[in-house]
Amino acid sequence: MGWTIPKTWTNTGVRRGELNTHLRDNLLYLKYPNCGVYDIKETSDYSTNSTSFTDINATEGKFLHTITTYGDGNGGNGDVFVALNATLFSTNSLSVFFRILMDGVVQNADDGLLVIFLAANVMQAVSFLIPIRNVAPGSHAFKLQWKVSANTAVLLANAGTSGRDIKGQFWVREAS
Amino acid sequence: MGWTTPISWTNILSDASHFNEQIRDNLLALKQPPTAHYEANESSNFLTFSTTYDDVDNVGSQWTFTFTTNGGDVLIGLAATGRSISSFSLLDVSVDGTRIANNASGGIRQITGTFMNVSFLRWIRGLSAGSHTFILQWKHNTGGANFGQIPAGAGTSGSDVHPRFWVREVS
Repeated sequence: MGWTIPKTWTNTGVRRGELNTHLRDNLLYLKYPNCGVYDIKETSDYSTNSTSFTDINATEGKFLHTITTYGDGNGGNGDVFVALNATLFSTNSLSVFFRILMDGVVQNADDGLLVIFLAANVMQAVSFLIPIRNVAPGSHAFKLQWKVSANTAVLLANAGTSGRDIKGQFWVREAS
Repeated sequence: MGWTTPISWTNILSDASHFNEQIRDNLLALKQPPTAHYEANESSNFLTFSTTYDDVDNVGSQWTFTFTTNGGDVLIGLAATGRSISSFSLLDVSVDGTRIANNASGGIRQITGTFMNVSFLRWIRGLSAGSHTFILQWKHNTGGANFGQIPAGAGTSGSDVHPRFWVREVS
């Protein structure tokens, strides 16, 4: 059930169908806005040695979520929340970078949104929640990418790795 | 579109203006609540040598937000990388002139070492309806030659990242 721009009422009476569309359905959308959630559970952890930004896993429902948004609810643009909660590891010291793409367009230029330094053999958490602003009503694809400064970084994926069996999450949700 | 306190409906027929205020406008207020946001893309990174709290962006004040809320709760978010040269730095948020930790030695997030994730979310309860000002602030524990840094898209090799600070009324 989606969102319908709330009508401007006139003194011509109220029809049941109008209340269902403009009141019931819109209240339900506010309660349950469109979202995509990935509980990071794989048979092996993710890793990269790429020094340029690359997809972590561009499979829909993984580190790619496509949702339909309804903007500000009145025909204009709106906001979408994007969040990551994960744990990183490396056997070497290095830096790990993250960025977000919407519909293939980079949302965080240059080295991205965040850089995190990993000391060798020390797990490090990465988490953020940001609004992507001015998103037009329609279908949009949100994707997370990463890169390293050198060597290889691992993003733990609840894969049964001893001592590092951590389940993170990547999610996208229309802000309201 | 602002929020109007919902009425208790009675058996008196409402006219269209009533429906527009109570249904249309309040739905739109819930759909797009007041929000402020800034992604840093500065000519130099944010630095503090100060041992007393100062605005993180004390030049452009881009991380100072003033907007009108409809009353209730506000969510504050930072997505950023930080580092601290020797000792540590502390982050806090001033809400209408009062920092959340509200004492000289405290903060809501510590920055230590090299390029750590200093992102946080903070829920502020029960703000009155009206205009409110939110400022991200920080200080360094010892100062002097030591400092705290938040890379701010200034082109620094290996840390050219663009942090975001935002505030949104939540319902």
